[in-house]
Amino acid sequence: MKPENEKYCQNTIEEDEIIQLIEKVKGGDKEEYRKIIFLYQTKIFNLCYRFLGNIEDAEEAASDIFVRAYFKIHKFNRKSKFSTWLYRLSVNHCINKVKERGRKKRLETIPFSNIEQDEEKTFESILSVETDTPIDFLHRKQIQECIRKKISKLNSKQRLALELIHFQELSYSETSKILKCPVATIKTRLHRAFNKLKISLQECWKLIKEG
Amino acid sequence: MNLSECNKIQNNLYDYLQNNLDTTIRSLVESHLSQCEKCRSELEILKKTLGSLDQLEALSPQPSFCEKVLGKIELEEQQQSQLSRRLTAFFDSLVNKWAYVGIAALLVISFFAGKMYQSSLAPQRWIISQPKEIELKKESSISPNPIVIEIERNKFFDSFKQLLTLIEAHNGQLIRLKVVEYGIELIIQLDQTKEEILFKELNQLGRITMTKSGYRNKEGNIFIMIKTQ
Repeated sequence: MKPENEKYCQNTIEEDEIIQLIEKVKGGDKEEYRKIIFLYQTKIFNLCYRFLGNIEDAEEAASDIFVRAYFKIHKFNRKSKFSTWLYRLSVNHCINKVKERGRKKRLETIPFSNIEQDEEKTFESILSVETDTPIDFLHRKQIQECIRKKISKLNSKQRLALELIHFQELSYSETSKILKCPVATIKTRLHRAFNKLKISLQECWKLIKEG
Repeated sequence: MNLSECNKIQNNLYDYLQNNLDTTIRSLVESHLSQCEKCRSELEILKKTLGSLDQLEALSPQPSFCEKVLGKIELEEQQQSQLSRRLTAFFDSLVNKWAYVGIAALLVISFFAGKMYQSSLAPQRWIISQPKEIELKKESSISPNPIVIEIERNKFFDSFKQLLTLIEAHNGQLIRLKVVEYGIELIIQLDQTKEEILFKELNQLGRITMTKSGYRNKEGNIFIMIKTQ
């Protein structure tokens, strides 16, 4: 990666600078779009991953989102922050993806085999981490998988509130604009999500104790 | 402690832990927590829950992710320019057709104008009859119940292009396309699983009118009619 693009990966740029980038992209400068991708790729990829449950689908969905955003960027009218606009696009895309595969594949079936693909860890790389033995690594992955399953069992409204507020660290007002519902509703959904999780996560906590 | 007060406090516990509360509400929560064991225990459980969520590591997409996106954009641009070329050719041919119609109309008008001029030379009173209303076919010629998309006149071309892109995006195939006086009729082949999504997206193009199932023929092809409002 070019050093000038590093700051975009670290997410350290102001909204004004993002707007300038967008104006250049609207003017046909595709190279500037690369910076927008670097800026949001990890966030959008993780959103898709937590929504769709596997890395392949998440990467496909995230790339489709950036393609759609590129072709729709002329519709972005600065009434909201760019991130709000992009998240709305992402959330709608993920909801459509889930509906599309609907009955074919249940969300909660994140295969255990994903552990090997996850972060592309080889056995050597696992061994090379002094503080993390292969057993620890597998145990950690098992716990993470358990937690992901429990999150995926929340209904989609609660999951979205949790995703945007907790994982993406967005404000209530930004989340309310993305999901087009009042702040109080978001708070209630988040509260209900935690109420469900505190019961369902007990299974995962047992795993932690066993470790 | 009163139950509704506990509920209010518990609704704010997440924001309390994330330091998102203003000073007044924060001190209310703290004062309540100092007196209520139940809410203190809720706070501990929430801390544990959040601790579990923090164990989920954020993943990074493949290093080639950006190139993959730009590659897809490039490909889509190529496809769009091909589609646009095809459509331009199609509409050019339409313009030619209308040019012929226009010339024919001019000839007919000049013929009648000539006749009228000749007649005006004779001493005669003109009786102007009410013109008959031009009757347009209201039913489609391809199916009694197609999906009808009504579009504003100035957006017709763009929406039609968008409709073709949507059909292509869902791996649909255009079986027949016919230009009629009230719009364009299409027959498309589309996987039934993609139907619902396509129909939702069609709503963005204009006003949709459809019956429950009459838009498919025996072969399962879908009839769509796109016309101006």
